[in-house]
Amino acid sequence: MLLAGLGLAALAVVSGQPFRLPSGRPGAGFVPGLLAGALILLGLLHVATVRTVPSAGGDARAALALCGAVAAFALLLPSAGFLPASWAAGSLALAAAPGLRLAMIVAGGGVLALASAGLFLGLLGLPTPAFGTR
Amino acid sequence: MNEALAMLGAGFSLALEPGNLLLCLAGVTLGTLVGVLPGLGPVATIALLLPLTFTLPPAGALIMLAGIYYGAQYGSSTTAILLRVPGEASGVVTAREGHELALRGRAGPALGIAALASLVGGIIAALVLALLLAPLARFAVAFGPAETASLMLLGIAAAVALSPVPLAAAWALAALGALLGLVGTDVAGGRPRFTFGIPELADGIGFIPLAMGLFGIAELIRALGGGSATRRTPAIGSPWPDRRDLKGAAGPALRGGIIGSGIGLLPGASTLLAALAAQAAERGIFRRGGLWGSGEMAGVAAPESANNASAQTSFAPLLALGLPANAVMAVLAGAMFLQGIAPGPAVVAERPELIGAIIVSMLIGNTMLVALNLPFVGLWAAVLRLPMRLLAAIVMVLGCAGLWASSGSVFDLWLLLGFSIFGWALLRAGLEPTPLLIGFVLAGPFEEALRRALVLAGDNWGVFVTEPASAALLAAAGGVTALSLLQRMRAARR
Repeated sequence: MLLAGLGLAALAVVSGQPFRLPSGRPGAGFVPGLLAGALILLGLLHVATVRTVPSAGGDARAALALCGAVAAFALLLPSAGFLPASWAAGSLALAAAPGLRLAMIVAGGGVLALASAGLFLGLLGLPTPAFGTR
Repeated sequence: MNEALAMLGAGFSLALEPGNLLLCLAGVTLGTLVGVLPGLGPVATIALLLPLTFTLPPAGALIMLAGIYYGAQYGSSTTAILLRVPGEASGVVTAREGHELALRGRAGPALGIAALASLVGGIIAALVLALLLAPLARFAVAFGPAETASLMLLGIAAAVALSPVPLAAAWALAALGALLGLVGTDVAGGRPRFTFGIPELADGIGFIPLAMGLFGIAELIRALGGGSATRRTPAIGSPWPDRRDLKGAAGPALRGGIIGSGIGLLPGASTLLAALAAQAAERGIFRRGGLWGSGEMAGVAAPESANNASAQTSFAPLLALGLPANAVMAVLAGAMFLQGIAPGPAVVAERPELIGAIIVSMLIGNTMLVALNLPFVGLWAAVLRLPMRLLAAIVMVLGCAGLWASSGSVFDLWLLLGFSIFGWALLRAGLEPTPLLIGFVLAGPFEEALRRALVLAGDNWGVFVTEPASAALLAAAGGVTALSLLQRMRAARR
């Protein structure tokens, strides 16, 4: 149903684009319109024909921690700098599976941040401040 | 033949440059590592490494990424033989007989045969690639827009047919991927579409955040969810096989290399399919009287040779036709676009030294892999005890920093987050995202070919069936889809 819904949303967006150009040639909305229509039909067909699909797994803790790591990196990089962003991302990623104490997670994140800064800022010369904004 | 020799000759000096040799070594070592570790496959690794290769020259980047792919086939055999757990999908086939051999105290020779058979497969595939690329590219150059659009459709149909996802959902994912691939400035009209006023989207959705999110991070989430219990491995002993082992494995390795090379050339083919076909051929035709089920060395040699050969020859559809045959090739196509190289017949004609260097690097890389796998097999077995959590944390920090280093865009980091969440949602829904990635990569060329074909034919859709080559390609796409539908219906009935 999600796929059909995405198709419907795409069709709504595509409707703002010309299906045909004044010359009669296919416009910017031509192929996307066909694809959005196909997406709706195929999404509905999937819902109608398939009862259950086995999930490939992936637990919520790991998902939240790893997605949180990306979000933390994106949030902290422009405001706090490379090292805090890498530390937060590394620590959150280390917390993705149970069994590690908080002190180990925080320290491990620090080691990863230092190693990453050494590689990207030191060796590769990435013009990003280790702390603070540019 | 002369073309092949000229291509290899041009590529030799480039492949033998010290920097490229080092990148080849780095690629095959990384490939072996991710092949050994169950959970993190070559697609995820290559996707996560894309930002780092951005700073490398094209030949070095492609040599390294190719090395990861075929290196992973080598590494996978270690886990398959020692633990009966495939490090990579194709290892499932080797695991059957290989683990039986390990349980009988013959893990060392089984690992040795796996490495040597992979070398045989790698050499055969490199020769096949060198011989076939130029003729294939010439064949593709003769294609008009109708044939090109039909070829793209065949590529998608083949990827969809081999996807584990229900057929309608797999086609829907391909359509969704194509829609995402069309975000950005319309090439024909020059106006932005689906950018929602976001200037960063004017050049389209970044391939790196899409591939990293859907494959890299989603794969890490799946691997971490699978637990990271300490693994115990059986004793290995000497990895050097004796004369009897070598004699028994030589034929299966040669035949596996030929079968794998052939299967790798097909759009949508996978290393798993090659390994399965090679083992089935040995079991059903060539070695029917073997010790199947209780440790048959041919059951290690044939699939290992085939999966490596197939990994290498699957470069042919990408390099000669611009058609990524599987998810790894789709990621590699993205890597080529990032380097300013459009995969397809033009690159074979205009950059023979680059193509030659990739093929020569495969020969060098395969030799490096034997040197890495035979003497250091104990080290790779020790890697199996590495906690998945630590690996995930290293990959996450390097991946985020690498994406920032390559694009310099915080927007791309948010895109990465979005695609990671979407990748996780697909994982939860049991929808494997390979068709989406292939749809994303092929969307631009498909749209261009379709529009041009319609313009040239005066808006007559019949052109796709009246042009013989286009009709044949469409018939093949229909045949592949029908066959896959029949197989799924039969499996559902069972």
